[in-house]
Amino acid sequence: MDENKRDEIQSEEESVNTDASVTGEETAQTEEAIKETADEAGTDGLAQELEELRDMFQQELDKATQEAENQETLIQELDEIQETHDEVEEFTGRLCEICESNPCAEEYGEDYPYCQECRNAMKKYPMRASGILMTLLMIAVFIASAVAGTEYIESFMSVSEYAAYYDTGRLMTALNGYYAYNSSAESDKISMKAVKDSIEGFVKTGYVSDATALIEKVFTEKQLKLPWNKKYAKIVEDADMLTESYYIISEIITPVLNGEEFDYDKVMAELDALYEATDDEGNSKGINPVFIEYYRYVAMSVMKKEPTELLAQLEKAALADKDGNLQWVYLSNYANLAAMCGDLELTELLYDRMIGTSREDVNAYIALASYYRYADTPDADKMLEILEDAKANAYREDISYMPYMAIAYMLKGEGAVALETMEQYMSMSGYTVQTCNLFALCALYNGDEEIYSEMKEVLETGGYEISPLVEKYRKDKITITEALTDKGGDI
Amino acid sequence: MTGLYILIKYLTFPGALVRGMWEQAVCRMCKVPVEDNRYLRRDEMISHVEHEFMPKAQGAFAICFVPFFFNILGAILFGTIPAVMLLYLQFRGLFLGITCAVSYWFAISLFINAFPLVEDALNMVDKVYHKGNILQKIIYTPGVLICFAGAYLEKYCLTFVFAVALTLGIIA
Repeated sequence: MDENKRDEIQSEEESVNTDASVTGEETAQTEEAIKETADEAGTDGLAQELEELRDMFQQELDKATQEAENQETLIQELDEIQETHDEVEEFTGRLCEICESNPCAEEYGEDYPYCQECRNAMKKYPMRASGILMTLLMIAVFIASAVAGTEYIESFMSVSEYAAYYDTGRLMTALNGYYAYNSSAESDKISMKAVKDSIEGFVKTGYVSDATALIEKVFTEKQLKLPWNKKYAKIVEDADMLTESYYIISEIITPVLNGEEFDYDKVMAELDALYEATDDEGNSKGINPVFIEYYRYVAMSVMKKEPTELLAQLEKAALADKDGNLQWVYLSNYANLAAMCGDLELTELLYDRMIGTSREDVNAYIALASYYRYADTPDADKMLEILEDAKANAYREDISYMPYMAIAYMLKGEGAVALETMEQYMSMSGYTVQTCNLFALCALYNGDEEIYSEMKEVLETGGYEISPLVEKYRKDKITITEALTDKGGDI
Repeated sequence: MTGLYILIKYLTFPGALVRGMWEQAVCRMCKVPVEDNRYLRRDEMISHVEHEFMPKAQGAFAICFVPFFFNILGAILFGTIPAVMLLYLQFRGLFLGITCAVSYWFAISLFINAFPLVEDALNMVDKVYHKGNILQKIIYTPGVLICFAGAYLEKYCLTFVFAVALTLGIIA
């Protein structure tokens, strides 16, 4: 189509050029003819006419020249268009995957799929609202939870404080704090952490009835049947069995505990028979074996059996405690006996177990200190070191470590400090047979007969006699170390 | 594994949306073309935007670290109150329980979606240690290590496992 047009324009141009050259020749010939005619005629009118004729020819010539120039411009433009068209037809590369019209910007790589324009647009890809809305929603929920949390600040402060005690092994402090909180908290402010810790702590320390009371307060019967609450249901069940076991055993053991006369063999046989005890319908009564073994130990202890025998008996109790929930029954005595028998490994093992339950448990420190007291060569410094730990960790008013400190001071030869410690202890604590004997011994060690007499009188008033060890020491029959390391349990 | 990966991402879609948003924001800041900005999609690009690789060290680091940083920051911020009040101390209040539960879900979802794509992480390592200057190498190294390790943990769904373990740990 363009080529046809071009040919047409070219032919027109040729025709114009031909016309122009013909017109130029004719003009020259005409001018010459006019000149000859003018010369021949020699008239003014003719000359003027010829002049006008020449001007007319000149105008025609200019017009024709102008048209020819215009045709040339058109041809040139057409050539340019043709060149561009040819170029486009020659492009064989890839087009942009997005706009599908521009070539890919291959300067970004041979396989780069987008053109420069689309690439620039992709740099400003609009953000999706979903991300921004979700961020705002998160902030809104966070604020809502923070607002809801403000009502719990006081509860949070209390519970988190006790929880910190609990998690760091300060069991008694935590349990007392939890108890106060749980007793006063509104139902929606009950902290299940406080409840669960309390239940666990009560079970570990033997306050089983407190544990069951709390479980019954917080959980409904339906909740206790849920799989994840089974352990609490079991605690209630076990507590009932423990109570039942205790009632049955107490019928046998009461005379022993009350210091009455009893038939040792009969008591032991009766306790042993509890393993086989059944009710009227022939069902096992399920008496707790830990209780049976422990009360057998109690009876043996009253009969002043050898420490090794007692230790073996408590080992049976420990073995019977398969899930370890009844350590509070026997562990303290077990550790003391292990110490007394010189078994450091067992003493340390039991000490660790007791400290693991509660590092406020002074009995654990006393048991470990007792090992160094009853060792072949008593180590007073080690005793004091352990008892200082007890002092640092003891729960509030628990000062039961102090008599052992007095013993350590006496073993170390520091009688005055020992006496001062015992005076302090006796002023803060109730009198027992053992502490009265120890105070009397301590007084004698410091040459104070007055306190000795006072303690002797106190014991006699209560129906007891002062320990023969104290009397022997008073009469210089034994040394202070012999008196303090005697395993009879009087001091 | 890819199916599980996508399932986890859908379960934690709030974090996926936020992660994608931060990635796109970084792309815009660095003037890097984004090819696809669908944050939720049924392939491995879920929670990420499809973008060209960052040509410079700081951009390659930023595309990995900035979304990670903000997601982790959000996870800590939104997760602390619920973790303490709901999971640790276990208060029983209903409104507190609901808001804390949702907030904790947001926190976990932010954590699970915190880490970059492995491809981005590899590009980051390449750019920082081959094109970065010595100062960049020193400053970026901790972030590079965290993002690089996290990218693989996320790829194999281990961030989800960690989040579940953490939750159970707090409750216990």
